[in-house]
Amino acid sequence: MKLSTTRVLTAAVAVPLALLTTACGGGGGGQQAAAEGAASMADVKDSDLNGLKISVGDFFGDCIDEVGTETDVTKATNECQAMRILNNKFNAENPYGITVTREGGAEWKSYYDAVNAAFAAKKPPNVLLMHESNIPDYSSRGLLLPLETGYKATGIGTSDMTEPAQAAAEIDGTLYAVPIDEHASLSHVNLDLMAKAGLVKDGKPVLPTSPEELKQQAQKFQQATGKQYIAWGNDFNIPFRIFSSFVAQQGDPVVTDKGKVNIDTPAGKAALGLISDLYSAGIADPQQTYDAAQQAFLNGDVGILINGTWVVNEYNNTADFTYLATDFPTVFDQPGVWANSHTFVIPVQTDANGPKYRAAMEYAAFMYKNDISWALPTGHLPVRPSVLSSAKYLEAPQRENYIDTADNAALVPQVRGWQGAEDALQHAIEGVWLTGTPVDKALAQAQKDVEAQLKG
Amino acid sequence: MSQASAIRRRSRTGDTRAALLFLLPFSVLALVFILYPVVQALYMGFFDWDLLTQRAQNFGLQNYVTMLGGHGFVWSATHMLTWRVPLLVVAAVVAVGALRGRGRPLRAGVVVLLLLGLVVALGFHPGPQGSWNDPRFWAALQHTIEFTVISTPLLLALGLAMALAVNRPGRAASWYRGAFFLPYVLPVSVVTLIWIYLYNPSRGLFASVTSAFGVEPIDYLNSSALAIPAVVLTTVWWTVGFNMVLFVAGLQDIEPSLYEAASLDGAGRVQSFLNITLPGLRRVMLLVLVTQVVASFQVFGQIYLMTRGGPGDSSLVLIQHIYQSGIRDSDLGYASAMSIVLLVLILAVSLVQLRFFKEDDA
Amino acid sequence: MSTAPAPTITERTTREDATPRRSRTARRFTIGASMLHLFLGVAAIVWLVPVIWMFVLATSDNDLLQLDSQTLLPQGFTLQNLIGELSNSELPRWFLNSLIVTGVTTIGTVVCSAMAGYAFGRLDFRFKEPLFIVTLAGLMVPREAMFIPLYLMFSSAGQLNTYPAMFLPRIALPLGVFIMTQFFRAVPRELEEAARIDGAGHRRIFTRIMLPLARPAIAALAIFAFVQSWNDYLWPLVVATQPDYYTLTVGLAQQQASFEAARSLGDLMSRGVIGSLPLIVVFLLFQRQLVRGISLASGEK
Repeated sequence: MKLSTTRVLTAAVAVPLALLTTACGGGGGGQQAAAEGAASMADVKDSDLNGLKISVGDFFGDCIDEVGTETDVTKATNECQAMRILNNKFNAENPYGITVTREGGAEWKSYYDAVNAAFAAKKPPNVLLMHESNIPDYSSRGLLLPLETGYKATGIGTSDMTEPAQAAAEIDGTLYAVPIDEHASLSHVNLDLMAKAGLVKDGKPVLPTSPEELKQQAQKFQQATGKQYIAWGNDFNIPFRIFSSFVAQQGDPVVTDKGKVNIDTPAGKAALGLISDLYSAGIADPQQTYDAAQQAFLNGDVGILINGTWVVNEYNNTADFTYLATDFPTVFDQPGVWANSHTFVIPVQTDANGPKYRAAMEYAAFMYKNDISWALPTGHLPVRPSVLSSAKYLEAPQRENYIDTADNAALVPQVRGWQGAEDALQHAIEGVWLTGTPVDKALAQAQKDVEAQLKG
Repeated sequence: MSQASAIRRRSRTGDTRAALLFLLPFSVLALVFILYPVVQALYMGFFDWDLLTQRAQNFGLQNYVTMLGGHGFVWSATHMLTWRVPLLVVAAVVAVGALRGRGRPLRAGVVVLLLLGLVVALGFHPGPQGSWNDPRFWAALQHTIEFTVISTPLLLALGLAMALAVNRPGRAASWYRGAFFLPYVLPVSVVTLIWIYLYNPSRGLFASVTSAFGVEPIDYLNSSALAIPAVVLTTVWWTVGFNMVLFVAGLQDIEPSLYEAASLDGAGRVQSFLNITLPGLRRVMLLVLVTQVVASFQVFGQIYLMTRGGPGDSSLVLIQHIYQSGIRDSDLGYASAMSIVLLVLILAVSLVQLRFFKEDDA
Repeated sequence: MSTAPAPTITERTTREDATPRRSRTARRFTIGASMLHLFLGVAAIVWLVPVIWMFVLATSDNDLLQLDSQTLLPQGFTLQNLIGELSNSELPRWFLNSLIVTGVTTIGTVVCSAMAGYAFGRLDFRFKEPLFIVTLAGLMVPREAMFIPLYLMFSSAGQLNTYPAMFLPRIALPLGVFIMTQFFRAVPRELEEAARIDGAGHRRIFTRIMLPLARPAIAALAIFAFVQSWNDYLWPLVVATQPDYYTLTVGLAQQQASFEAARSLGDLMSRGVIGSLPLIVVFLLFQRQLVRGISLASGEK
C-alpha cells in the first residue's frame, strides 16, 4: 500500500540488476528437486506446522463478501462460496494451526496463463487447484511434488477413490495430485416435454441407445411438442466434449495417456458423423451458445440439455417444469462421457521446506476428506466410493440419477500440451458445421493438428 | 550579426548537457522497459526456451525454420487472387503514372518490380502433399494483414468524415463530438462484453433489427466469413472517435485565410477540400495512419475476447498465436521469434509509409 | 502550407473551435444546416446505442432479461444489480489501486514526454536525429508480445504485487514524446529568445515558458495516458497476484469466475457500467480540453 520513494527507488535499482540474472536463464532443480522435496515431508513433526501460513491458487473467484467467516458449507450455493467456506473451515478446524490464504486473481479462462506466469517466476502458490488434464504439463517438467510420502503423512490413500479419480491422481504410476471431484457432462431433462412425446417410462426419461434411435426419438419429440429435442452450447469447446464422449463410447479415448491419437478412425468418423447429422437435420443447433442453450432449456423449449454437473442444483431449484438430471446418453457400444477432475497439486518451491509442503498436503487432504461438502453445493461427483454410496449423498436432489457417471467418466487425457491439442481438435471439427468441411477432411485435419500440438 | 542569433549560437554549445538531462528520465525508462525486452526477445528467439522451467537449450535458427519453412511447394496462378489482383492494379497505376512522367521513373520502376515480385511470390503455396511447418502462423499473418487492410481505411475515412461534419461552432457540435468520442474511453473488456451480446443471434439488438427486415439472425462471431468484419466494426466504433478528434485538431490548424483566398478565386467546396483541406491535414494523416497501422498489426484484446480466434482459426491473429505459443504451450523461444518477425514487419511497413509521405513533400 | 505565416501560440489558445468560413456559409444555408444537425443528432444517438443498452441491461431484472433482452427500455427497472456489484468490499480498494497506478503513470508519462519533447524540439545536440528515429521506432514495438521478459524482470527482482511494477513499464511512451516534440517545435523562437536575453537557462525556459504554453497538449496527452493505463488488463493481471493489488479492471474481470455468471446479464452489464463509469465521468468533465488540447498538440507548421 505504501508508495514511498524508497519503494520506487528499490524497484528502479533492483529491476535493472535483475536483467542480468534473467538473461542467464538457468534451470530449476527439475525432477531431482521434486524428489528431494517429496522426501522432506516424511520427517515433519506435527508441531512444525504450528502457525504456518500457506497460499492456495484456484479459479473459483473471490466471494468473500458473501461468505465472510462462515464455516458451514451447507450454506454455500455455488463453487465460489463452497471453496471459500471450505478454506474458512480448514483455517478454523485444522489441528495444526495452519492458515491458508488465496492468491492469484485470474478467472478460469485465464487461470493457467497466470499459473504459468507464476511458475516462470518460480513463485507458485504452495498448493494449486488443477484439472487432471493439466497436470502432465507441470509434472513432466519436475515442477510438482510426487505425493506418495504426502499421502502417507496425511493418512489418505487411493483405496477409497473411484477408478477415474485414481487415474486422475496418477501420472505414469506416480501420484501427483489429490482429486476432490469428478465433473462430467450430463443429460438435463425436461420430463414434462419428454412425457408429451411418450419418452418417459416409470418416471425416468427414455434416452436413445443408438444413433438411429436418437434421430427417431428426436423426430417423435419434435412432432409431439414442436420444440427442440436436444441442445448444447457450442462455445467453451463443448462440441469437443460431445465428440470425445461419442468416441469413448466406442472403446478407445480420443487420445490415450500415452499420446496416441484416435481421431481419424472409424470411431471418430461415427462420432463426428453423428454430430454433423444432428446439426444438418435440425435436431441440434450449431449456433446456440452455452448461454442461449441454457436459456432455452429453462424457458421450457428444450427436451434434453447436455451440460455439466455444475448446474444440477441450480436447475433443480429454478426450473418450473419437472426436471431430472441423468447420465449422458449411451448411443454407441458402452457408457462413456467427457469428464474432468478438480485436483490439488503441490508445486516444487525454490526454497524447499518440508513443513510447508506438509502443510500444503494437509490442505489437499482436507479437501479430499471433505469431498462431500464440495459435491453437495456444486453438483460435482465425490471421488470416494464410500461417499458416493452414503445415504447423505444419495438423499441430495438428483444425485442418485447420475451416480453411474462417476464410474463411466472418460477423463480428458493426461498428456503434455493438452490444452493446445484440445483447441486444435475443436477448431478442426467445428469446420464441419461452420464452413461445410466434409467429415473425413475435418478428421484428417484434426488428427494432424492434434499430433502436431502434442509433438511440439 | 544580430544579438539574438549570437545568443542562439552561444547557447548551442551548452545544449548537449541540457539535452542529456532532459532526455534522461525517458531514455532510462525506455531502455529498461522497451528496448531491453526487445533485445531479450531477440536472444530468446534463438533457443528452445521453456517458459515453465526457464531452461534454454539448442541455440540455433530452429524457431525461424519452424515459423517460415515448409515443404512441397507448388505455384499456381489462381492462389490468393483476392490479394494478388489488387497488388497488380496498384503496380499498373504506378507504372502508368511513371510513364506519364509523374514522380521519379527509377523509383517507380523499383516499386513496380517489387510489387510484381510479391504477386509472383504469393502464387507459391504448399501443394497437396506439402505443408507449412506452422500453418497457424501463416493463417495468423494473413488475418492480421486483412484486419489492418480493412480497418485502417475505414478508421481514416470515417474519422475524417466525422471530423468534417462536427468541426463547427456551437454547443450541438460539441455534443456530437462527445458522443462519437465516448466509446474510446471504455475498457476493452466492456466494449467486447457489450458487442458480444449485441451480435448474439438470440439476445442481441442486431438480430432484432435484421429480423424486422425479415433477415434470419446471423451468428456473426461464429461465421468464418463475418467474424473479422464483425470485430472490425466493433473496433471502428470503439476507436474512430480518437482519430476524429485528431482530424478536428488538424482542421482547426488550417489557416482560415486560405479558404477565404480560395473562395475569392472562385474555388468550390470540393476544390478547396482537395487543394487546402487535404494538404493541410497531411501531417495529422501521417500520424493517424502510422499509429493506426501499428495498432492494427498488434490487434489482440478485442479478437481474443470476442472470437478466441475462431471459428476454426478464421480470426486468429499474430499476437494471439504468440500469446498462446508462449504462455499456453510454454514455448517462449518460438513466441519470441514470432514477436521479432512481427516487429520487423511493423517497422518495414511504417518506414514505407514515412518514405511515401516524405516523397510527397518534395 | 509551410510558407503561411504561423499565428502565435497565444492567439491560437484563445481561438474558439470555429472556422469563420463555415459559420458564414452556415447562415446562408439554414435548411441544409438543420438537415445536417438532424442527421448528426440521429447518428450520435445511434452511435451511443451500445452504451445505452449496457445501462438499460444493468438496470433490468435478471430473470426478465432471460425472456427478452432485445430492448432499449429497462425490463422491470431495478438498481439491485448495481448495488450488488457495488457492495463488494474490495471495490474501493481496487478503485484506489487503479487511481494510484493510473495517476502515477499519467503524471510520469507527461513529465518524461514533455522533457524529452523539449530536448528533441528545442535543443541542438549530437545524434539528435538518430535518437529521435530510435524513439519513433519504439512506437512500433508490439508491447503485448513483449510482456514476458518484463514479467521475468520484475519477478526476479521480487517486485511482483507492488505499485512500481504496475506503473514503471508504462511511463515511457514514445507517442507522448512524439506529440510533445511536435508541439515544442511549433513554438516561435522569439518567445524563448526574449527569456534568454533576460538570462534564463533551459530549466527556467522549460518550466516558466514552455510548460505553461503546452498546457493543452499536456491535457490531451494526459487523457490519452489515463485512458490507456486505466484500461490496461494483461499487465496488471500478471504482476498483481494478490487481491489487494488488483486494479478495478482486473478485479471486475475476476468476478466472472464461473459458468453461472453468464446467466445474470444484468450483473454482467452492471460490472461493465462500474468499470467504465469513472472514465465516462472524467471524459465528460474534460471533453472540451481534450478536443482543444489535441488541436494544439498537432499544431506543427
